[in-house]
This record gives sequence, structure tokens and C-alpha cells, in this order.
Amino acid sequence: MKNQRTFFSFFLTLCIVGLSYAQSSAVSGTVSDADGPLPGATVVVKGTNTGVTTDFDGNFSIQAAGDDILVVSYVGFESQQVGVSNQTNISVVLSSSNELDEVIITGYGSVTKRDATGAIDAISAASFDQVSSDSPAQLLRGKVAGVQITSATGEPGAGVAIRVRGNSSIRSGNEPLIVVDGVPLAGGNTSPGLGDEILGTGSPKNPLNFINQNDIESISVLKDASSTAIYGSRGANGVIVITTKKGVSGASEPQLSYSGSLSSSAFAQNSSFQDVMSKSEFQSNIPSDLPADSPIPGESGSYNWQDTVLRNAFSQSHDITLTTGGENSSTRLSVGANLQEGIINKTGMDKYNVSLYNSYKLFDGDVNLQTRVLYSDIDDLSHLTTNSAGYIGNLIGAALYWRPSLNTTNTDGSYNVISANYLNPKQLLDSYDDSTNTKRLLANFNVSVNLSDKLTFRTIFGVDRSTSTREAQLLPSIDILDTAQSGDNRGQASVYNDQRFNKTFENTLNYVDSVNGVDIDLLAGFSYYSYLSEGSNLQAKGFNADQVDLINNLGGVVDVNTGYSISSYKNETELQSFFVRAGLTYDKFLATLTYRLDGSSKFGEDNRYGSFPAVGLGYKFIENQAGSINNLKLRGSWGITGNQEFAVNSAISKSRYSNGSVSIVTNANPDLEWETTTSLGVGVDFEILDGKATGSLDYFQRSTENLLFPVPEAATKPGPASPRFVNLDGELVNTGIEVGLNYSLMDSDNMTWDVSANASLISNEIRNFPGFIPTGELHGQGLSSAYSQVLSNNNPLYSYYMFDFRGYDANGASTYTQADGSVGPLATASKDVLDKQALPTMNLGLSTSVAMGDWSISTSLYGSFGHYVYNNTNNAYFFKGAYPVRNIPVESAVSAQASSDPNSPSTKYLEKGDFIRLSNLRVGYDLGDSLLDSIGVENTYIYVNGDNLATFTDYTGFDPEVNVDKAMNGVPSTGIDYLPYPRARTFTLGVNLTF
Amino acid sequence: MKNLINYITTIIVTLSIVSCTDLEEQALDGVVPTGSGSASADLRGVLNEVAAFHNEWARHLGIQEMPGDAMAGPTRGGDWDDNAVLRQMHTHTLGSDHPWTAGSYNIFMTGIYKADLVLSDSGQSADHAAAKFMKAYFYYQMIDKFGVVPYRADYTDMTQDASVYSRSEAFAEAVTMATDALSNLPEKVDGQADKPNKDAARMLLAKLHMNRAVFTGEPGATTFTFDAADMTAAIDYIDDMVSTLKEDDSDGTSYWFNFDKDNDQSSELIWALKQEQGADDSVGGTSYHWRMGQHYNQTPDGWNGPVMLGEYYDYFQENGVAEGSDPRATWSTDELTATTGNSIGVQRGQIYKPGGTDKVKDRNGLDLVFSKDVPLVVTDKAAIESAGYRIIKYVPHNFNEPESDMIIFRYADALLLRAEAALRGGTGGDAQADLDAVRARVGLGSITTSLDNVYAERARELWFEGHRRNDMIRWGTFLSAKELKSAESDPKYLLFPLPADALLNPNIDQNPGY
Repeated sequence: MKNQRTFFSFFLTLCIVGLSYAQSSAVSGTVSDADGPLPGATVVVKGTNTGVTTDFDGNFSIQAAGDDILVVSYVGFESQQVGVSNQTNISVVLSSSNELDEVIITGYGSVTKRDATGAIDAISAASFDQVSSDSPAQLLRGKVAGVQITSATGEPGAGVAIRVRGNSSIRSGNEPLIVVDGVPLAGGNTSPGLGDEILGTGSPKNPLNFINQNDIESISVLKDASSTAIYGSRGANGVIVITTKKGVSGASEPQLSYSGSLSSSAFAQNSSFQDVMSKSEFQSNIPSDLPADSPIPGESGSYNWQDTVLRNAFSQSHDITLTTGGENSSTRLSVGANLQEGIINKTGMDKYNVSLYNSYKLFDGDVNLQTRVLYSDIDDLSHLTTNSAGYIGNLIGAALYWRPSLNTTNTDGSYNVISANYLNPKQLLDSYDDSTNTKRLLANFNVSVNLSDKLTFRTIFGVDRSTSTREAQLLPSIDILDTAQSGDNRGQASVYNDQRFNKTFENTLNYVDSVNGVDIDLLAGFSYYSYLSEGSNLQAKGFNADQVDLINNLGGVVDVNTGYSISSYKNETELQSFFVRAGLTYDKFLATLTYRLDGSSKFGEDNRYGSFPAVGLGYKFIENQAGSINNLKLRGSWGITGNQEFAVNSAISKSRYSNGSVSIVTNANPDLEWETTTSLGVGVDFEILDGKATGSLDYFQRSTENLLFPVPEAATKPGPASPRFVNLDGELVNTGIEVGLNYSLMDSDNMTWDVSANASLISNEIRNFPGFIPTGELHGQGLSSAYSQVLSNNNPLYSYYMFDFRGYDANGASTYTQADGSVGPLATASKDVLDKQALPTMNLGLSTSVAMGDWSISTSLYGSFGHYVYNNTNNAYFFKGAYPVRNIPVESAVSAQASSDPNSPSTKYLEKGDFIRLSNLRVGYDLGDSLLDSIGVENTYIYVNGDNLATFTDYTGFDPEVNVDKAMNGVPSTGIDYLPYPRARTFTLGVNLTF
Repeated sequence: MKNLINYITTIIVTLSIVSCTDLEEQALDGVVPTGSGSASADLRGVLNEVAAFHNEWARHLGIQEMPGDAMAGPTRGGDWDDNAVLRQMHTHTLGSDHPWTAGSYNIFMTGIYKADLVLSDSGQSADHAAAKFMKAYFYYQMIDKFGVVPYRADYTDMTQDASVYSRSEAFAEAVTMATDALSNLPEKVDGQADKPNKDAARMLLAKLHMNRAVFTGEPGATTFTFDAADMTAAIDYIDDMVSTLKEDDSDGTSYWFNFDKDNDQSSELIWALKQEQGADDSVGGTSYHWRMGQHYNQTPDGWNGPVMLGEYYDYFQENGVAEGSDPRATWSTDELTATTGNSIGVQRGQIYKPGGTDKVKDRNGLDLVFSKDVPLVVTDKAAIESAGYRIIKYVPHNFNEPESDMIIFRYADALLLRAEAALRGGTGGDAQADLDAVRARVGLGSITTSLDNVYAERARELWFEGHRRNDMIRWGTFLSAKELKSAESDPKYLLFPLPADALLNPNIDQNPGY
């Protein structure tokens, strides 16, 4: 509390200092570009050091005499000089020039790349690939050096792993902080997953799905400590700042626009995909030594898994946007509907969004009120594409193993039922329903008060409320081994409820001045956040055999004493923070000093507060020169950031009641403290070749210590069967190089051609670490207790740990490396931590766009390299012994493997994950007003768009970009493929109309 | 206007201050425990941990029989690879990630914790002797399997990393606890061997003394010098027992009665886990004894897994006993033939359907003939499902709801320990009489008394009851080459590795060599 007081003294002092500077003869105005207001533009009185930057709405207010000249520089935009001429209100419209001068919204402010001391990047709506992405995360894919986006599977709305400069934690909690319009979101999911009720567990959907792409103006990525330390304890994994669109400023006619698209999606096979056999392949490879009474060779039915389970999915998207502005107000309202079918039958995501932006100026612009409301209502339809299915399989497993010579339905229309562990995929498809409805409201109210022309006070109050209900049912008519409640009482229904209510309250003071040639930008603030989470679930098992609507008639269970199980939970986290930042510019020298003091209720009572300092320095060696090098800035940063994404109630001991007794579920650790990441980075931002190319080059090292980890019960024995969070010894070190380059190949009146490319190299290693922590759990026949990855000393995260396959011997038996290095049989094979790991060591992205007259073409590629994917599907399903009872790929059926050879986990199933994907190609044509003018359409733009057009890889599974959740004891895995939802290729026809 | 701004500012700054929180964390869906008060435990909770160990084949047999010469778990094509854990256990190549040893470690240590909860509750003083006995039993298991025992001076203070008793210190603790329990427990009453009793404490003390040379010897020692005083102590404890061998009944009826439906009535049971369908105090589970090895197509059906090795089976044919003549290896009744089709004990040869006439076929359509030869990885396609003799120790009945109690200690074990103690220098025992008693009960004649013969008799009498690893270590044969392990093992394997997770407690060092 002492620290708190110190901060408030500082806070109040700032107030007083600020007020004393208040003087008369202010000139105010707005700086904008063709698209709207420009936050962060610099306005300087020519010949003086007096300068200000524009606020979020492009507004500025500066002290100037009536005959002064204002230099509105927004370098990269053509700078403008405007005479004050005794005006009190001046509007300036700048036209853009290059990348260095794009304004990037950062934490509590904005900056141009030219003036940044930290490693930051941004993409704006103009460079979004997708037409209607599931979530904002996908828009970053392949676009920003050092940012890797991996969708877990191809399911609509599937979880996405976002990694900024690698993984900084050995447990879960590697996701960056997401800030939407100034409101830092709580980590974690907003929709329930699926418990292990039927055929394995299911993952929750991506919590970021709630944002409509159409509402996003820009996405900034803050990568290094200099830029993320302002978020202190939550900055270690980078920060992604999403800014939504605003209304037009200044009086204008209301503008209405519509954008709509129709899409068709189908299963996208990569270049090396090994499908299971067709009927003819299946029958021609049947081994001769089958028992005489085997029915398999004589089967005459037919079945194709893709025809049965998959479909050509049809999707549509509609957005209507109204923007309007008045003298003192500006409003944007948009309504969107995005109805997306999944390529697996009975799956999809229907998303409805409403967003409202309103700003209102009072007292001649000294007080500015902004309101933003984002509301979404999402219906997710899922199926059993679970992540931990066993021998019996999930929907994909059953679809793949069902013999192509077996019908799924009999002539009388009934299902062809084989057995309780050889499931009819058609019956499974029809028998299961799973829908999730998630409603989320993110609203914030933002007041900024110009206390003087140099001092601005801003307060933001935000609420984030989500409610999600998942309802799943499996009909009693399908017999799946070990799922009956008792006897023949089958059928299951689950209802999961999940609610979040988060509050944000932030106050900042911003002081901008210029003293003796030093431009000063000071920020001080206080934040309070509260994150409340609660939920419940109900499982009902064992229904009447002919019941079909289980979810809505839960009372139908036969044995009410044993047929239900219920649970519920609730927890709250509070954070409270004080922070200051000083931005200093002197001539060519730039400095940013940041300090944040963060308190969190999650930590031990002895360590509630952590402090997070950072320094960023920059020097512009070359500035605005003509010739081959136009701008060159060197920057360096050091800082400490934290991570607090771990379970609530980890520092305290907690007991819960169950079945009449009470037991301890977590063990206290009053010393539990922040996991800290110390980052060191140097970088160069440059503009070369007469402004044709801009780019950045970065080197970084991040070292995470005090590794927060729930040590399993074995480490706390003797004691209850519950874990305890501790700060483990050891470091997790990430080192990397990033390059980003934008090049204007052509820029003439009738044609422009831009290329942008980025690459990042990254490696990580765990050092001085006491543990040997398994993860990457494997599932399937003969794979009990099998796992594939370890976290251990002197190895990269997610290093593979398994037998090293060395080929088949003359009898078709697999051989493996032995303890002495020789080649030998499985019985004596030796296991070792391999020099192969799951995280890509290189990521590439390439985008190019050409505009010629009314035509525009753009395309994007991205790729990942240097990592391995474990094909658990192959391991569990596609070994020779599984055939011909089950279908397998022809490559496995004709391999040298003996049919008696076990499917022991080994490098046989470990495949290189390298890939390059042609992720997007779009051709657009601008019809202008020529076509629909008669019905009031001012502008018409039509386009054809292709997503995920081709993937070049040697990987034999569905898709090398895969990350099925195979966590073990809560420790996440990476890069494991297991019966995932396949990825789609999508073609879209779209139109944008402006009225 | 400025006033208004100041006014707003004041309000907001005030709000900021008011909104300051002390960040005290709340447990909204539970309670923050105070001392031991928020963890309930009773004797049943402690007993549940004993059951958790003995009711799971991968623990009770997996870590006590499979590392020895009796049991192996062959990989059969796509089945039973299980991340190599069965092969590693049998061939002594396991590491600190082995799930069976790690799981057992957690069970023993949770049992110790739960026993402490009972012992600290004066309201449960009637159960203190039993809790202390079971705590001593967990100590015995920890000393036997892992060597060290972590402990806390204040067992409720989970904020501190546990300290560690060395093997010798833990041994002394176990003896003290078992002795204390002995003086406070009631005498055993026949038919109530599921209640901890003086005979059970005597058995535990006898075992502790029998193994003292192993438990307190130099780490890595492979041969042991047994102190005559320990042997005499073991003999004395066994002499004091009130349990008796089930009456002589040379066709094996009395032997198999110990493993049948009503075995709780056997005078031979010293300590067992009660199994009675519908009974609140039923904690035992024996059905894995017939599930684990039985073929999928057998009745009762099983998992077609672990086997008894031929080398071990041959113990039954020693001393001129013809194959099939030792009723402990083969037990057949009309009822068993009718309900399962086969004899029990060691199942070999052609397997039949209930009734005993129709042959069972495997999933490949081949006659199911259990063969003696079995490799660690079965690659012969015809033998994949049939390689290896299968074992049924508990008599199958009510296949899904068995009622036989799960035996932990029984009197034949005590008799053979007493014979061994006498042969190792203890006074007061009669090795010949004890050995003869065990053999005569199943109609077998006297054999000479020697340590080797006691060792072999233990193999025949106590097969798959969880004693083999402990016996082999005491006899110095544990590391030797065996049927499916060609070389002598490193002495480090005399102890299991501590689970990798346990080493995250900085006070715990891995056992030497791992």
C-alpha cells in the first residue's frame, strides 16, 4: 500500500504541474488522412520546439501565435505547413507516403515506426487477407515477423495458438495479452470444452471469435519489453492491440455501406496427403492369410469417408455499416451476420455482430466522450472431432477405419451395425449433436479531458460479459463400448455453462511538452481489473432406448440415482496497477522509459506486487535523406515483463466438498511470485532506395525465470492428491532474428505493385531445469501411457522422446536404435530425447498486391520450417496389423511392415512439418458508380477470393499446420496431429457497396 | 468550465482510490482450509489407498511380480505396446517416467498423509491403532520399492518442501509404528481379516525384520548378511500369531478356498481387502486376476495381456512332481468347467468355451492354444494372441461382481518366512515342519530344508501374490539373467527410480544410478 500512496502523490503532482501550464491562445484542430482521423500525427510550431501529437481522434491543441506556421508532420505522409492566420480551428488532411510513418496504436498511445524505440508492427484492414476470418488472430498469419499463428485444427472457430517471439512459459499461458480498444481482455476461454464423456475430450473455441473482422481497423503487435512493459505482469508473451473502426469526424453526410459474400468450402488435401484406400485398393491388397471364415474379402458394399462425413460447405456473410458525423460527434454502427458451414456435416459457426462507436465532444473539445460497444452472438455446431479418442475412434477415426466395402446403411434404411468398438461413421454422425451458444458484450466508455493544452486526463471503464452454453447429446440408439450407464441404458447428454464478467477501470494522465529541445511525452496511470469466472455442468447418462431429444428432456434417465453428475465453479482475479512512461526525443535521439507496478490476487500474500521496468533507446543515424539509404534508425531495448496466466486460487490452499467429504484441491504457496521474462533486443528500422523499400531487422533474447509450474502431487508428498504452484528453478531462453521488408516494385499512376515479406528464426532451450516433464499424450490402440514430448534440461521445449525407428528387417519387424547405438529389435530398443522438436525454427510470410486501373490482385503465402509433427493418427490407426479389419492408406498396406509388427511410438510416425501455403489470392474489380448508380450506390467493388489454395509439404496427414491439444497433466503439447477436423479450401465471391 | 473539469477529475481520482483493493484472494467455490480441519479423512480413506495399490494389476503385480522371473507382458501386434512400460519393467530398463512406479509412489505417500489426518483427530482415537498400522505398511512399501520416505514434521504445513528419511531412518520409524500398533490392535478374529489386527502387525514386523539386511544395507549391495537377532524376532512374531493354516486337504480344495468366493472365512487370511457386493465397507477388487491374462474370446473375457513365464512354471515340476500334479498350479472343478470351460491356476494348451468341449478361437480364427514359449514382442502372427501361459489366481465367480477378498497377508507366507528365518540363523523355528506343513496341505511330500527349497516353495505357494520381487532381492537373484533378460542388471534396479515429478522437491535426490 505504500507504493500505492507514492503513486498517487505522483499522480496528483502531475495534475498540479499540468494545470500550472494552462495558458491562453490555443489553436486546436484535426489531422486526418483520406480514411479518417490520424491519431499520433505531430504538430509543431515552425521554428520552435513546441509540438504536440494528435489524440485518438486526430485532434490537437497547441499554443501558437496568430502569425505562426504549424508543421504537421506525419512523416511518411507528406508533411504540410499551415499558417495559423488567427484561426482557432484548423483542419489538415495529409496524404500517406510510406510504412515508416504509419501510426501504430500501442499501449496507452500511439507511435510511428519512425519514432518507435520498441519492436512493433501493425497491419491495417487494407492488408487483411481473409474475407471474413473466424477471429482476428488469423488476420495476422504470415503478416508479422516473429508472430506465429497456428490453428489447432480446420474446424470453424477452432482455437488458435498465437506466439509472439516464441513460447515463454513451460506450462500453458503462452498467449499474448489482447487489448481491444484499450481494454485488456482476460486470458482463457469464453466457451466450454467437452469433458471426456463419450469419445475423448473436446477443445473450446477461440475466445477471440467474438470480434467481427469488418469492425477492425488495425491490429498492432508489440513484441519487445520496451513496448509491452507498460502492461507489466501480462506483457511477457507480447501484446496484441486491436483497434476497431470509428465514425467519420467532422460534419458529413451519413454513409451507408454493405459488404456481402458467398463462399464454398471443401476439404483441402495437401500435396502429400495419404488418404485411406478406395474400395478397389482395399480389396486388391487383402492379405492371403486371413481365416477362411473371414467375411472381409466377400464384402460388396461401398463407402467413401469423404462422401459420408464431409460436404461442400456453403457460407455467407453480410455486413451493413452506417457512419455519420456531426460538428461534435461521430458515430459508426455496424451489423454483421456470418453464417459459416463446416466441411464436416452438422458443424459450423453462425456469428451475429453488432458494433457501435460514438464519440461526442463537449466544452469546445476539451472533453471527449467515446463509447464503444461490441456485441456478438455465436452459435457453434460441433461434432466428435475430439482430441483423445482411443481405439474406438472419434468421428474422423470411425470415418477413416470403416471398410470401403461395407455399406453404412442396410437396404431397409437401418444402420449397418458391426460392433460397439467398430463404429458406423454414418450412425455416429447422425447420433450426436453438439451446439454452443456464446454471447459476449464488450463495452467501454472512454472520457478524455484536456486539462490544459499539454495535459490530458483519460479514464476508461469497460465491461466484458460473456455467457456460453454448450449442449451435447449422444442418442441411446448407438452402442459405443464402455459408454452405457449400466446394462443397455445408453445415451448421454451434457450441458455446460460458462460465464465471465470482467471489469476494467483505468485512469491516465498524459503530459506532452517540449523543453530545451527535448520533446517530452509523460504518461502516468492507474488500472484496476476484475475477472470473474463461473460455470457449471450437468451430465446425464442412461436414457430410455427410444428417447431422441435428450437435452430437452434430461429427466429421461432410467436410473436417477446414478444417472446424473453435476459440478460447478467460480473464481475471481483482481489486478491493480500503477504505471508511468516517459518518452523523450532529442534531435535524433529517442528514449522510452517504462515502469509498471502490478498487483494480482493470484499471487502469494508475500509477493502480491511485482515491478516491471523497461528502457527503449533509439538513434536516427540517417533521417530523410535522398539516395540509397533514406532513413536508418538503430534501437535497443531491455525490460522485464511478467506472466500471470495460470489457474486462479493457486497461491492459496483450497478445499472442496465432494460426496460428503472435503479434501484439499490446491496447496498454498504464500511465496508464489511472478514469472519474469527479461528481454533484450536490438533492431534497425530503415527506408532505402529512394523510399521504395522500408523494413526492420531485429535480434532478441528473452529469458524467462521463476518458472511458474503446478508441481504434481509427487513433489509435495506426503500430502493430498493435489498439485502446488511453485516458481521452479531454471530458465527458458528464446533467441531469434526477425526481418520484415516492404518493397514498392512499381508505383505509377496506372499501376502499383507492392511486396512485403517477413521471416523469423527462433530457437529456444530450457536451462538449469530440475524437471523431466512429459507431455504430448498419445492415444489409440496399444498406446496406453504413451507420450511423445518432454520438457527437460538443455533441450528445446517439446523435444520428442521416443524410439528411433531404423527401418524394417527382413521379416518386416521394425528395428530401432539400441542403447549402444546399434540397430536392433523393439524388445531392447532404447529411448532418448531426440534432437527434433515441435516448434518451427523458421517462419516466413510473403504478400504481394498489384493494382492496375480498376483491377487489383493480391496474394499471400506463409510457411513454417524446422519442426516435426507427430502423426498420432498414423501411429494409432495406420499400421499394417490394423488392416484389413480397418481401412488404412495404401502406403501402409503395402509397406514392408509385417502385420504382426507392433505400432510402438517412434520416429516412424514423426514427420517433418515444413510447409508453404498459398493462403490467399484475391482478384477485385472496382466498378465505381457506373453499375448501380440508379439505385443510389456510389461505389461497387466486386471480388473473387480463394483461401488456403495450396499447401506444399511432405507431411502425409491432413495438414501440417496442426496443434491438437494433447496436454498431459495440464502441460501443453505442440504439433501433434490426431484425428483432427480437416482444413477447408474456400472460394468466395463478394461485393462491397457504398451508398 | 475549469471548475467542472477539476470537479470531474476529483471524482475520478477519488474513485480510483476507492477502487483500490487489497487483492486478498478468495476461494469462491471452496473453503480455505485451516490446519487439517478442511480435509476429512477416516480409516476408510486410508484403507482406500491400500486398495488403490492392491486392486490394480499394474501396481500390485506390475511392480511386484513383473520385475521378477514370474510375469511378463508381451507386446502382441497392435496391442500391449503401451509405451514399452511392460518390457521396461521386466527387463530392468525402466526410468523415472514409469507410470506404475510413479502411481504407486503417490498412493503410498497419500496413504501416509491420510493416516496422519486420522492420527491427529482425537475424535477418531478408536481407529488410531489401525491407522498407525497402515501408515507403517505404507512405510514398508516405500522402503521396499523406493528406499526413502519424504516426511513433514508438521504434516499439515504444505507450504514447506518435505524432508526425507533415509532408508535406515524410515526403517526405524516403520518398526516403531508397527510395534506401537501391535500393542493397541485387537487380536484377529477369523472371518474378520479385513480389520487390521495383531497378526497383521506381527506379519508386518516379521517382514521388516526379515528384510532388515536389505533395507538398511549399503546402497547398491547385492548380497546381504542377515542378523540372527532379526531372524529370531521374525520367528517370535510368527509364533505369536493366532492364524492357522487351513486344514490339510490334499486335493487343493483348502488352498483354493483362500481365493474363492467365501475366502473371508479362511483362518489363513491375516489381512485382506473385503470384497462384498453392496457392502459399504467393501474395498477389494480381484477381478483383474482373471481379466488381465484371459483372451478376449474366453469366459470370463479378458484383456489378453500378461503371462506366467515358462521358467517360473517349471517350479511346479520340481522334486519329481509330475506336471499337473501340484494342485496349486492347476485347479479344476465341474462348476468351473461349466461356467468357464477351463481349469484355473496356470492356463495352458487349448482353451475351451463354457462346458469344456467347444474350442475357443482367437480373433484371427485360429484355435486358442496358450503356449509356454513367449517372447517380449510376439512377432509370429499365428502366436500373437496365444503366446504365453495365463494365470487365474482368484476363482472366477459372478464375473462382474466377484466377492472374494483381496489377500495382502496370509498364513502360508508366514510359515515360509519362519522356515527361511530359521535357515538364516534364527532360533526357535523348525524349518522342516513349516515347509512340510505347506506342502502337505496340497498333498505333496516332504523335501529337504534349504534356502533354495524355501525359495522355490515360495514360488509355488505364493505365485502372483506380490511377493516375488521382494523374495528375489533377499535371495540375491533379482538382478540375474532370466528367461527374457539375457544379462545381469545394474544393481541400481534393486530400488525403483523415484518418479521424476518427486524430484521437483529440491530435498529429494534421485536414487543412485538413475
